[in-house]
Amino acid sequence: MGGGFLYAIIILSVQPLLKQTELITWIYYFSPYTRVLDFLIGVSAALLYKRYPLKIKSKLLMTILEALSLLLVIVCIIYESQIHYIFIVGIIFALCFYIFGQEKGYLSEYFALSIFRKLAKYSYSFYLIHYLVIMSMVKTLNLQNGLTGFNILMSIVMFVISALLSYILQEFTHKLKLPFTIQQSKA
Amino acid sequence: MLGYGNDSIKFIPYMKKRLNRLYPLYFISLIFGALYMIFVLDLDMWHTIIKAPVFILCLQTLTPYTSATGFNSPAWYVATLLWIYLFFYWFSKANQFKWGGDFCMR
Repeated sequence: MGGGFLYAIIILSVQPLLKQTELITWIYYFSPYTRVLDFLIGVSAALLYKRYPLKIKSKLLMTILEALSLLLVIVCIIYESQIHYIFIVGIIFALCFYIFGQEKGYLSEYFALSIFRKLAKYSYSFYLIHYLVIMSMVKTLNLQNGLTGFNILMSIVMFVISALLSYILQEFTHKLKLPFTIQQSKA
Repeated sequence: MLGYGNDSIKFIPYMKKRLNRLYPLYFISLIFGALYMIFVLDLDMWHTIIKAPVFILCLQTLTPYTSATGFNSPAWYVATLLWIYLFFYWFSKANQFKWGGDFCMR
């Protein structure tokens, strides 16, 4: 862990000295050698969650903390391009997960509803398929930028197609018996 | 991280579990991506097929010499995550800290 954070400090401290090139984008955005730091932030959050749970009893105070952490995440998403150190995004998300993981406020109670659990199940397939649906429709229909009625309608169509495909693919892959599938032993 | 020093977690089951969760959809999305490249972007089919093994083996983010966002742009994340899982296993085994528990490795 200590080695991981030492590595993180070295990598991050040189970042401002580097000019934005394709190579730097690869190093700091795509490469597993750097993104492992975000993973370690997540692991640290899991450690904190397990070993140091928040001892706040007030549901109202926990709700305020949840709202604040969620607000931070939203601000972070909006201004992501202006954040020079990408690991800050990881810390803010980890903080949000840590607070929501306590499940002591009204917001976490709301997000624990079964509809959100179901949405979470399909989020991975939605993430993987949405780009292809959007780009295929944009290229095929030659859609232009702009907030027109047709574009809004097409956005809804794209969303519906992505959602349907996500559902089908998730259900299909869930039933697959792959060579690396671990067989569940019967109790 | 909590699995530091825990020898009960073996590499093959550890990776199988993660591959089982991530790879099938990733692979299907690559097929869709190849169709998109050939039929929508009108890219040369053989050119696409030659590049395919890099993406099938999740090698696209390991070096800066390949386009990390080829085939299906968001899929780079899965490739990176699988490599991180791999690093993490060896990293946690190499460091013999006793943190107790093993839920991060399950």
